[in-house]
Amino acid sequence: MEQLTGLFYGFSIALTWQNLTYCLLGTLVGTLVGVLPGLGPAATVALLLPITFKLPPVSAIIMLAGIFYGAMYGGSTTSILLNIPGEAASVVTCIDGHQMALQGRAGPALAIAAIGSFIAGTIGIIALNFLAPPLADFAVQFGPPEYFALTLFGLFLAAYLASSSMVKGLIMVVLGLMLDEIGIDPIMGIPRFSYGVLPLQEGLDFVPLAMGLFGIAEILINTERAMKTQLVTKKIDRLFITLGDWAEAKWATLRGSFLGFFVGILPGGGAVIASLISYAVEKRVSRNPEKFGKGAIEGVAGPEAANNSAATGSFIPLLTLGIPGNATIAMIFAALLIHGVQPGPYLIKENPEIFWGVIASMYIGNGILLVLNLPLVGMWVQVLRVPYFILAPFILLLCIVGVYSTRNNIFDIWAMIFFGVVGYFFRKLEFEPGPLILAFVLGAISERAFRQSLLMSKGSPLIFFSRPISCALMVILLALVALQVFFMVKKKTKGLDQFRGAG
Amino acid sequence: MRKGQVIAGVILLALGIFFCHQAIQLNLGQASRPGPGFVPFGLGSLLILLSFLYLVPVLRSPKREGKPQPSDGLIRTVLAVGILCFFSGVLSRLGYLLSTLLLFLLWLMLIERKKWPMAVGLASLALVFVYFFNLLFSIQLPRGILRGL
Repeated sequence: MEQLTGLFYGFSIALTWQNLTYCLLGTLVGTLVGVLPGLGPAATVALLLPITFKLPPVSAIIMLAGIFYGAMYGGSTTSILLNIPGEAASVVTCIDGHQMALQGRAGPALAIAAIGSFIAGTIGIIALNFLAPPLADFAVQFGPPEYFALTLFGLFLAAYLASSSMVKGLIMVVLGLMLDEIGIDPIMGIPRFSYGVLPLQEGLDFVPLAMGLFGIAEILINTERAMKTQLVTKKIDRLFITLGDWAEAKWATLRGSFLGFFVGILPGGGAVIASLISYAVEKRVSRNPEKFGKGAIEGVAGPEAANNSAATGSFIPLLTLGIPGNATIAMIFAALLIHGVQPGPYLIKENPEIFWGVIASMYIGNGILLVLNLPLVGMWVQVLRVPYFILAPFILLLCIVGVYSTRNNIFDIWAMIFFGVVGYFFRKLEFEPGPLILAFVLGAISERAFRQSLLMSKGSPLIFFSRPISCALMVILLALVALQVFFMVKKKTKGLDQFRGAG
Repeated sequence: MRKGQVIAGVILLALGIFFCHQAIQLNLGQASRPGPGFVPFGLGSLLILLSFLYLVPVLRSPKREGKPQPSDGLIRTVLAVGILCFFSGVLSRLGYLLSTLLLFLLWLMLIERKKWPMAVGLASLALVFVYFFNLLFSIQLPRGILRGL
């Protein structure tokens, strides 16, 4: 019953005109960035983070959360109509969604994406509503060894799942942790790696790092490619699905919803991976797998449902453990900290207005998004006509103003440009920036927990194996590492055998 | 690509060695009482190991590429970074309004190769945008030589 009482309290907060406006604004901006190729939700949350400093914390988080789950809705429009993913989680929607559009079924493809997203979003929010409070109660028992094991597990999974190469993913995690070392030592209070530079003594700020790696790097890459958005000329008719379409898509939607939610909960998981897994599952369970790639409605319904429920699911580790699971959630984590709110198991007791207010706003936001993405789809098609050469300098301006306003310091603009250039080279060399951002945010929690654990155990690393939760996480982690090494060695031996055979 | 990967690997390796060296200067402490350099030393060592794991397959892969020619895209990117650096350099002195005007004019005319009437039109729009944005969110952007306005 605690959940229902909490939810009613949440609605009393989310339904104030001010929070309704921020919810509408967040979902609107989210859909916009989802629709526009070249600007993902992580970059947008980073971009708008400084604007939220003047807002009450609950309104700020309602808006930023709206951007995140709103982008999941909007991404499908561009994938279906242009065959360009509006954001990374809609990559697989291109495959069958665009085929449907080419066959004159753009309307049903857009409709099933929006309806599937709505159903999945609602299932995700209900699960978040009922699972988060008991999980937070459970997490109260966590001490430094559990937190260290959990952050290590999350970082490993982020490196493992978010990158094409495990080594590259781990390099990004280590770089993120290294950047977090700049500033005052959290236990002994000694400045580290700041070399007398005053702004570095407080530690590297999150906003220029995130805006540089995501915002500026994205613009530099698009500038190099001379990105042009294509004009949409096709008229979209019949923005609804038939009973036959629904019969084909309903199980894919439900499977995608549940699968996405659980992938979203995993530290390091998220909407991109959820949509990819869902597509693979749908293809495998389908009676007609040959339809996939040629306009199968299940290939749109499943992944679109999965990326929405994953976005909702990824709020669970943030709200209950204080551990962000992916880059966008890491930005929301930073926003909470900037507002003086510590996310974690005590959030529900210490800041119930944020916990329940944000959950209630998600129910409202999900309804708003259905309206924004179905009847108003024509408006988003018009947005796609805005040329990129107009958007790019405006995004740059937003990045500069946003970064400067955080600490009123030109140094942060230089830091953003530096990380923008670094981010550009990361993209060129196919290093994914997500794990770096996540590691930067988790670094402080992780190091403090690690050193406190060693102080508790008088230097014995066995402390991580002497407590049930941390032991279980460490064993899974070690098993994953062993499995990865096994596959790497096997691949190498196979290559050698082939080489010998050829010789 | 291969050349870029080798350079990246060497930079990562050097960064790992540098981090370890600095961590030793900070005092490593002991396992029972880790000092401020304890974790950085571990991270530096891990980066050295990972750089090797990254570099070895790259160095073993066959060389395939010829001498790369600087593309038009690359020139645009270098120009973009130059414009950003110029903007940051003049922001305090010229103030946010004049700097924004220059940023837009340079960006649209040099990178996007737009004619001046369009560049001036969009730059004016940007000025209005940044002025009201500044007012709306009470951001203290530097006013520079236009301080009196």
